[in-house]
Amino acid sequence: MNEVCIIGIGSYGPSPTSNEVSFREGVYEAAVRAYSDCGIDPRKDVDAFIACEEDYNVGISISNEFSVDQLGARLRPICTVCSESLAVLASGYMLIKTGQFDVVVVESHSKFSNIDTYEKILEFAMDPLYERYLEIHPYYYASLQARYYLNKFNYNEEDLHLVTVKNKRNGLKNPRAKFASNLDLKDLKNAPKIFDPLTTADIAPNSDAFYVIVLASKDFAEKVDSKPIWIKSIYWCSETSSLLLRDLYDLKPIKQVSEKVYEKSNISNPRNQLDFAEIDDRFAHSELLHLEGANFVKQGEALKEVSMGSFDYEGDFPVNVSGGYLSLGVPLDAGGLSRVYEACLQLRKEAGRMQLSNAKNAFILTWRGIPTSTYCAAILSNKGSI
Amino acid sequence: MQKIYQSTPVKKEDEGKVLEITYKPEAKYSLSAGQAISRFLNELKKGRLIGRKCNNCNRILVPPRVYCDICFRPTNEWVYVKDEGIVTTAVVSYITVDARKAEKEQVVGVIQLEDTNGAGIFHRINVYPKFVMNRKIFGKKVKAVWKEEEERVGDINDILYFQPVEELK
Amino acid sequence: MKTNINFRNRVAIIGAGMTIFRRKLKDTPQELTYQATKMALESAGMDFKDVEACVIGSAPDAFDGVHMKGEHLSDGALAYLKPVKRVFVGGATGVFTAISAWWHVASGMFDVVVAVAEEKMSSAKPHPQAVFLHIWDPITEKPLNPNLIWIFAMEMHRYMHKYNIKKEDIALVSVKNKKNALDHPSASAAGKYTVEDVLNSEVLVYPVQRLDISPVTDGAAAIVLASEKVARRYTDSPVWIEGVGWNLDSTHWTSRELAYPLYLEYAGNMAYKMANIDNPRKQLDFAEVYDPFNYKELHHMEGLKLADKGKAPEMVREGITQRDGDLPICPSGGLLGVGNPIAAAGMMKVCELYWQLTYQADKRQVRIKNGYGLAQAWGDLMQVSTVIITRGG
Repeated sequence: MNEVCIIGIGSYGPSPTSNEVSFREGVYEAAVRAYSDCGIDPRKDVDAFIACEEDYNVGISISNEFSVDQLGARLRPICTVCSESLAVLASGYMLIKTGQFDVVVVESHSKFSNIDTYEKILEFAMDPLYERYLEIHPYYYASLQARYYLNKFNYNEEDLHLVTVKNKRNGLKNPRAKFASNLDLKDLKNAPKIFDPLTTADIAPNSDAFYVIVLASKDFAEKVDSKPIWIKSIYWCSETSSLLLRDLYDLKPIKQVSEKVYEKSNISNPRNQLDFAEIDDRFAHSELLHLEGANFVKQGEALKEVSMGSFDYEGDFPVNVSGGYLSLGVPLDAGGLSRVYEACLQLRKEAGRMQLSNAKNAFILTWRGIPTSTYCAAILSNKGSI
Repeated sequence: MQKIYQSTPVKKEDEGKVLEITYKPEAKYSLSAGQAISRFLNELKKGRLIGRKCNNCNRILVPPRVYCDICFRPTNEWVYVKDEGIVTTAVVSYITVDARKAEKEQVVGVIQLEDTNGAGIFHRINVYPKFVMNRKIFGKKVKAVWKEEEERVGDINDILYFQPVEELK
Repeated sequence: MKTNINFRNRVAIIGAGMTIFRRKLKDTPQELTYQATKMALESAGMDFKDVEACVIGSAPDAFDGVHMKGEHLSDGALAYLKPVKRVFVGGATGVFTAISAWWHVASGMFDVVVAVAEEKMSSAKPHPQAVFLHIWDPITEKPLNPNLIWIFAMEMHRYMHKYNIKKEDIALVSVKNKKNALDHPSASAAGKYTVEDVLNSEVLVYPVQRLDISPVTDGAAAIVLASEKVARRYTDSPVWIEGVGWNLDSTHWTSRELAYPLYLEYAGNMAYKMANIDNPRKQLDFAEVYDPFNYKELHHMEGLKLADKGKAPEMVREGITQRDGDLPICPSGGLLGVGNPIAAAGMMKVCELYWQLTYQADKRQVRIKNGYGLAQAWGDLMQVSTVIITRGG
């Protein structure tokens, strides 16, 4: 089997806004950084490029047209895959697995600040016949999810903010986490709720960010000067596109993707065998549902363990030491690559003040957000075999 | 044998029945023009065309970009280019943007800008349709005709159209 | 890119299906996707439970009127709790959907993958062409209020100018493809036309006339791909994917020579190398090149090295590209004859490879000598091509 690794990472942002660059210039900045990170020339060394984008996020129909020049991909094989960027990374992974490609570049970006009517664009993603006409912000779904979780497992409403406090504080150690904050539970208890029981702080803000990741086969990685991070396994999965038909708590695709990646990496006890996790926390309760779904903790006990500090920086299983989306912001579909970027820094021991002492194997879980049911998981490692 | 699933075409007897619902997406954007295009637009306002030169391949990129797509390196300098060039292709449009019949036909085409080493610009060309149909306009030199200074806003429409330098016969 | 190595995992097409193509269908996008998927699975003798992953292809979201269209269509593709994603390279998406499904299987990650492409263009109001206003550069081109057809007219006229090609010769492509489509059960624009009919049809954007263009259409098409071990279980006549290629040129189309599709030459080379083809004109039995406009068929034959530069019209004139000619081009009837629901039209061409190479094409059947067929699609700002080469058993 040819193993696949990440040899180069590059980013520009994340930041709350990025008016100084067009989206193409932002991608160029990230690309230059990624290529110099592993010392490759995109005009010669890259076999295929993949851009992750959606027309209505970019604001251009057939946005694929505009993905070429800034990556150095002119007259090269490049394509667009529309999904969460971690699932798009999986396409690059598969290309290398075919044995025909040695180096594949994956790009994803968010120019959220270009979008004036994000709420309406989300609504446009909902089922046109049954679900678009509530005239309500689509985040109502998060509100239902959070309330359902609290009721189902008898938690206090306030405890939910513990996730927010943890991740916003973690972000203080991460220079890229522009939304980090030294919050206290007290600050949140009386804050106004915008999607009951969620306050503004409990909902990760959207951000602008540009990411480029260089994937390579083992053969190629040995030839260049880089610190390869190995993709041990990667999987993605969707349930139905209809919000009405999904369970609010039992997120079946999470079980599916996490079981698949554990199986492929021979992991029977994820919490012991893995060292840390970067997990989707676009809403405070999301981290809880996702931790339980991926079997890091028993059903209904995630919040209890958050309050005990198990998932803190010093805890037995650090979750979102980067600060998560709550601190980094959600760069639309580039979220997956933002987590890969943060995990790679940890695994390379280049994470600065947030460096974990024992970071060998990372778990990443991402969701594509409302209204989708697309989840992706990956296990990254700084060793060729776990 | 190839089988075909019979989907259902809309027929005459369907008239008057509810077959569709209407939804108008509200997708609005304020796109950052970026460093290169912002300068380009501001120069248009002044009645000038500007590009970025790559010293490696010696091309001048118009509209300008901060990176060279062939060499993959930052472009080197700002260069004003003449608002003249050679027509490489041209067509006569009889329809509007949403495929209705246009009130008046319109000639558009690509003009390869002089001394840029390959930069083309897409714009209107002020020429009789017959010179497009007999392709006499191909290879001819045209020059930009600009809006009055006070009307220019920093938009590609600050150029009204390109006009042949010599009259065509 | 490594060349000349044996495929680690060979991939076969073992089933294909498509809906009828019509100007306006009642079925929803999800229903169309379902119908094509189900047809393809039936043709493979499979149940949806056998499918491990799905790839969806669809062009701009604006047509169907749903943002993140891949998510929406996944229900129709029967992808519940399966890995599913959407790929998108403008007009070239149809063939690319099959290419993407290829790498799912060739990677060894999956054994059975469905690739389905769908387009419902009739949903867009006031006219689907208005959607295309937003494909131009939003700052330097869109303010000129361009119509989609302009861009192709400019390319066509440049091609005619550079190689001195007559409209009469280009019109022959429409005549041939619309006639071929008379034998296609899904066709929406088939008919017996003459060169005069084409030349007398309404001028939209000179030199482009009504009958030079494929019509706006609704429809869906799908194939089933399998690894060698699974394919052998289901069929004695798998159609092997021997080569794939894709390539994009610069966004800045005004700086390119429009008379020749260099990106297609590169995409073709990639696929030819993988398939070990050094003389495509001799080795291919037929080709489904992309023909949304009649001149594009000629343009693409040249880019694929099936004709010398500027010489494709001669081959059409001499009847070489007819269904009974030496190198049949678009025996299905192509987009000009069958219809052009963008992504689905590209996939229709891949379906045709399957039907031709398994002798299921009925009246459309061409003579199979070497067993090789090629399908190609093209799109974006005249900038991308995707190529797939298959071989019958």
